[in-house]
Formats: sequence, C-alpha cells, structure tokens
Amino acid sequence: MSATVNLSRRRFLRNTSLAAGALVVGTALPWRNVTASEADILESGVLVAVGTDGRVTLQFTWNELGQGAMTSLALVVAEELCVTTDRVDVAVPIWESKYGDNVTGGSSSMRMSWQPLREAAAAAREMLVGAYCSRMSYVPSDCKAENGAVMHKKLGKSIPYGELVAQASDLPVPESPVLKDRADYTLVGHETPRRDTRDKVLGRAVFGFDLARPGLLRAAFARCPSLDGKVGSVDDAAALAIPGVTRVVTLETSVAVLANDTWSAFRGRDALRVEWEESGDRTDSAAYWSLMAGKADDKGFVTRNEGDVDTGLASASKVLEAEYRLPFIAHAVMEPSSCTVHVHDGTCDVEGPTQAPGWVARAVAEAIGLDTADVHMKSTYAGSAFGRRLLPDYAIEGALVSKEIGAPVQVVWSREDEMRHEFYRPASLHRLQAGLDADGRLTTWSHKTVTPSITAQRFPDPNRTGADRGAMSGIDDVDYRPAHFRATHVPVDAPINLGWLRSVYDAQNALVNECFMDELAAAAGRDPVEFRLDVLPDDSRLRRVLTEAAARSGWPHPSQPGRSLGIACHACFGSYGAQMAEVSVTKGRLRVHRIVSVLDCALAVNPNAVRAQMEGGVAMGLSVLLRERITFDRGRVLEGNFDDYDPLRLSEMPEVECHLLETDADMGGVGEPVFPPTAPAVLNAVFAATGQRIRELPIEERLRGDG
Amino acid sequence: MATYDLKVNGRVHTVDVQPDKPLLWVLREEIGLHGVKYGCGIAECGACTVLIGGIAERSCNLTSADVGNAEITTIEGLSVDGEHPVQQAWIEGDVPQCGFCQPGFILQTVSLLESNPEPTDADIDREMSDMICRCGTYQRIRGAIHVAAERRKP
Repeated sequence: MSATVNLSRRRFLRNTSLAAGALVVGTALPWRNVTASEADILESGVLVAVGTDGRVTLQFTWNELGQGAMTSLALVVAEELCVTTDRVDVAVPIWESKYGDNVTGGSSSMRMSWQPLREAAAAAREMLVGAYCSRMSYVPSDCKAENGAVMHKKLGKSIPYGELVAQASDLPVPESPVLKDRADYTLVGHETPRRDTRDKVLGRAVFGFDLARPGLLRAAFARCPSLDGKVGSVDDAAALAIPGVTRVVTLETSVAVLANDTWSAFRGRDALRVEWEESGDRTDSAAYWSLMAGKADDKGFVTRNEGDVDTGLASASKVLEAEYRLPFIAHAVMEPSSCTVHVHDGTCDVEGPTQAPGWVARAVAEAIGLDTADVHMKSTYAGSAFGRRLLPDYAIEGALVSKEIGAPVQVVWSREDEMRHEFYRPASLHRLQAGLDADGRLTTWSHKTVTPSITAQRFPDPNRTGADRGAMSGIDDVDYRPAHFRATHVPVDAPINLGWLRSVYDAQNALVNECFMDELAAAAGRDPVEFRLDVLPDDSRLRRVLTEAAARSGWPHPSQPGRSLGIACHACFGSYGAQMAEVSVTKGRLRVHRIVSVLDCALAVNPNAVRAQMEGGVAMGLSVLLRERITFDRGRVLEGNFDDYDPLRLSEMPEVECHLLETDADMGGVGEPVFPPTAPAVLNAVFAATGQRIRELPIEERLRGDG
Repeated sequence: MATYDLKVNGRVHTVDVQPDKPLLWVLREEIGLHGVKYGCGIAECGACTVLIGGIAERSCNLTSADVGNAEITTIEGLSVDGEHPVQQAWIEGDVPQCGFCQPGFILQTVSLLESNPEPTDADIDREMSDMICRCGTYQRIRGAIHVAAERRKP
C-alpha cells in the first residue's frame, strides 16, 4: 500500500482544476524523482476527486502521446469507483517542479500507476460507503457502491455520491482499501473507445504548432550541421530583406530568424549566410562502419558470462558466426518540433509537446539562469513522440530567444530541421558466435554488440566506465539458457546526436538474436520454434507466447501456396511478445501479407488501446526493416525529408492479428514490446522465401539486389 | 503582397499575402484553420491535405492563386459536428493514435469515395499511399474506409 491521504481540506489544491468541496484522495508515486515536501509529493501523485455533482476527476500526470493512456487510466478509476467512464474527467495540471521529472516513456504510464490509482479510487469508494453507513446507520458489509451511488444490498435505498461527498471528506482514509477482484471487472479488460478520438477526427486537437496567439513571433533556426560546432560569422542582410522577417538573433550554436509567420521565418532562415566553426574530426558513414568493425575485435565489457563459451565452441559439433549491422535511424515524428516559450518577470512559461516536462524545465532553467521552480510547462498533444520528445532542445532554443527579445516566441522546425538535427537511434554492429551439439541443440551463445551509449552522450560523466546497461537490454537479460553464454558490450563514440527511440536498444538486439536463432535452427535442420524451446526454461513466459504464436498462425504451414513464414519472440518492458510473419518475395519485391502477434502484458486494461500499440509496433518494425537509415558525411546528416527517408506506407501494411494472453504476473508495458519482434520475424520469413540471409538494414535495396 | 478571395468552408476570406506563400500557411496562419497540418512541405506526407472542389490536394505546394474560385474544404468544414460518414467511420474504428495526420487521411478518403464509392483494397493501396501515418494506424484506416463506403450507400 502506498501512502494514501485525504486531501479534501488542503488549501494547496488551488492549482488543480478540482472542484471546491470535493472528496479528494491522493496517493504518492514513490518512484518519482521528487525532492519537494511531503505535501507536494502527495499532490504530485495520483489524485482522485469526487465532486458534489458526483463527477469524478483524475488528475493525470502522464502525457497523452497517442498511446491512449488518458483513456486507460480513467478506466481504472471508473472501475474501482463503480461509475461509468463518462462520469470521469481527466485533468492535466500545468507542470511545476513539485511534480518531478514526470517522464512519459518506457511503456510505463499504466504499469506504474495501476496500483496507486486503484488504491486511491478504492479508498474514495470506501469513504463514500462509510458516509452512507453513518447517515443511514447501516454497516458497510451490508452496503455496496454501484453506478455512482451507495446503497444497501437488500433494502435498496441509494444515495448518489455527490450527496455523500461532504460527509466522506471528514472520514479518515482507510489504510488498506479492498480492491475489486479481477473477476468482477466490468470496464477494465473491455474494449473502450478513446476519449481523444473525437477531437482528433474533428481537427480540434491542439498540437505544438497550433498555439497561435496574436502577435506571436515565430523563430526558425540555422543550426550547426555537425556536432559541437559554433557560430562563426553571420550575414543576415538577405534574411532581413524577406518580408515578414523582423529580427535575427545570434546565439552560441545557432542563429534564430524571427518573423510574423512561420513561412517567412523559414524563408528568412534559408536566406541566412552562416560560417560555422566546426570541430576537426568529423566522420562519414563508411568510415564509421570501419571504426565499428575494428572495435568488434576489442575485448569489451562482459555483462553476463555463464559456463565457458570458448570451451563450448571448441567442443561443438557445429559452430556458426555472423555479423549484423543496423544503421542510425530517426524518430521522424509526424509533427516537426515546436513549442511556445515566454521568459518574463524571472519566470519562464513553456507550452508544447513533451514526454518529460521536468527535463525541459531543468534544461531551460540552466540555459537562461533561472531556478527550475520558476519554469512552468503546459503540455499539448504531440504529433507522435517515440522518445523524440524526451529531449528539451527546442524549448531551450525558445527560452534563449525569448529572454533576448523580451517577448514570447514560437519555435518552429521544418521537416529538414527535424531530420537533420534530432537525436538518432544508435547504429550497432553485432558479432555472434554459437555452437550446436550433435543433436542440433544450442549449447553455446555469444553476442557482442559494438554501439554507442545514449546515456554516456546525453548525461556525460567522466567517472562512468564499462558497459552501458541500456545497450545490453535484450542481450544479457534474454531467457535463453544454453550451457555457455556470453554477452559483451564494446562502447564506441557517436558522431551524431543520440536519443531514445521506441524500445531503445531492444529492437536492434531482438532482431540480431532472433535472426541468428533462425540461422542456427536452419543449420541444425530443426524447426525454429522447437529449437528455441530447447533453451527456454519451463517457467519462461516466452515459451507460452512463442507456442501460441505458432499455434494461432498455422505454423509451419503458410495460409496460401507461394508464401513463407518466419517467427521471432522477445521480452522487454515487462511484457513478452512473439510474432509470426507470412510473406512472399517476387522479383526482389517483399510483400508482408500477415502478422500474427501474441502479447503477454499480464492484463490489458483497454484491449482496444493495446491492439493499437501492437498494430503500430508492427508498422514501425516493418518501416525500419525496409527503408529507414540515417547517413552522414563530414558529420552532417544527409537525409532531409520524406523523399529520402521514407517511412512505411499504407499499401505496405500487412493484416495484423492481435492476440492478448492474460496472466497473474505484474503488468507489463505495451507501447514498446511489439516493435522488436516484428523485423526479425519478417526477415526470417524472407530467408524462408528466398534462401537469402540479409544481415544489414535496411533491406529493401538489398532484396532488389541493388544495395 | 496580393489580395485573394478564398472560398473556405462555405465562407469567403479575403487575404493579403505574398503571392508565393503556400496555401497551407495561408489557411493555418491567415485564416486560423489549424486542422491543416504541416508535415513536410514537399507533398510527401499528406498532412496538409484539403479538398479543392471536392478533390484532395496537398496545400503545401499550392498557392492562393492556384485555387482561384474553387471551394476549399478543411477538416473544420467537413461537417458541423463530426457527422460526416467518413468521420463517423473514423470514430467508430477508433482510428487515431497521435492524431496529427488523421485530418489529411480523412479528407483523402472523402475524395476517394467521391470518385470510387466502393474501393477495393487494391484501390485503397493505390490512392492512400502517398501519405504517412508514423503511428501506423493503416490497418484501422483501411477498415474505416470500407465502413464509410458501406455507410454512404443509398
């Protein structure tokens, strides 16, 4: 039980949109990085309020990024408070430092709030029942909450919540409220439409670019095209001659062109002539791959070592080795970065899309010399996120310019800005070795990854050495248990900015594991499912998703002649996923017909939203597999727009069948786990179709034979 | 600067803009129609799609002069309150994730169904693939197009 308190009488609720006179129960979120007072911690946690009108408000501290969290969290409250979902309002407070980092990422919104949210709502329910009992002189065991009212189970006299709120507010919060049994759920676990759908279908949802205000200046930036460069000289005469351009502001590493409208700001920026002072050792993609290949011979840092891999390989009947290469890729969020910033009176107001308002505030405060407590951030909808909006760069730009000109500005990024100046998923080079015994069983497994550390680049610390934990996720924590096992990381410097992209390192690592597994099964002449089951412990939840994916897809028989199947599985973010892909390849053209996706996230609160994440994970997995790649020359990213960085299109989308497995385990995430197994399942099916092993992404040009 | 009378969502808006300013930015920032989205500026993603005389066009590579007297419809003008059959199909199918690209996909679908009331999957592939949804809602978009086609039948 987390700390749950009655906040009904607390004056500090002024900053919330909760109704006066409401019954308010707050539950702390102890994992939050909060250093404020206890009262602030409580206020910054989950708040559930029941108003005198009987409406329920959930103060929501995660951001709705398209994953449907807003709907699903409200569903949990409605379930535990025994009201219909339309009686629950969701309130998103303006961020203040007391809320902590408030990161929406790591597929965490539901699994982290599931328990405290239920506890807060159940406590409120019991207090309402308690108020009813004292008014009616009944005992709680004879009474129940139902459809927004409390009633006697037999006598039936019911009183709506609204009329009980005042009395309930005076009661102590029950220490251990009884949570509903899963078997009694009428809302959780049932398909529920999303509450943001209507605004989005009507064009009313407000995104970063939509924060129009009278007189608001737009700021477009020329940024140094490579890492660590500085502004040398600026010739802004042509920019200032563009109609609509009002001013040019030169910063240390960028130059801002301010204009009355976005298009003029972009034109003005394009007309700037800037000489950059760039660092000397700028590299290109080919040289970087050579560097990575050389590094693969380093010993690196071993993060898991069982048995003796060298002995295992020496005594194996068959030894296989392979090298896989995965390029840098971009988030390519649908809406280029944008936010509105106003520095005034010793404070800074930021409004825009973000996954981490606390990180924005800290970065902005540092950049313009304020206390973090003086930065306030209001979140808008995000035109997709995928980790890109964890970074505070666009807010910093806005703060620097707003401070300089003493007026609010809206930072606007063009698509080319977004493609060339964002924070990329790290490239990686993987060396695999494995040994099979005479019966074709896996005895030995060694996976070494050469890849830069996102943490090392984003949060530099000279005292940090050794392997990067994140980079090894999906390498050293896999469920496979051959007798000899080794996981190794060779860190390498990155030539461009790095960021966290959906599933972070797990997507790359799963692809390599699962494709090499397929290679080994083929070399052993074994069924790829059976081959994996050999080395999965009996209690591994991967066993179940893998066998379910096989059973539900008709494995190993394709649904039609001329098609081929591939399979893969992976566990990450607390969930277990397996996928079967059915493909055909005609003259080098890949068609993915069908994906059967099985996910064990323990409990799907809103299966509709979970399926959406599964469908989206499949789409992104395919997109990355087929075409996505960031290349660079002299440290400068070459791709600029969707004509040369071309995400998956509708015609390429397979039919996705989603299957959810329920278990009693702790809840797992759903935003990330389905992305990683997609690409390897498809790539294994491509091998089944063509006999071609492709070990370097993206594959489209390699399939055609012109790569 | 030049003056244009644009017919947008059933009203005439007189705008005074640079002649080469893309219609996208005129609609967004002169007229305030934020349902028209900026995604790429080079007609690759379809986020800025509007109907011009009932036909889906990319507003990022048109100017006000290109439109002439034709009626422009943005997502805001498609219906009063979401009652258009394509919007209804989108709501029933719970299509959007982040939602940013969806006005474009909805308007492209309206245009498609106008010329081809019963599109096959192959027709949908052909007509809906010069647009991008980064969240990958394509399966639900395809389903919603079929539902909308069924709804439109007399």
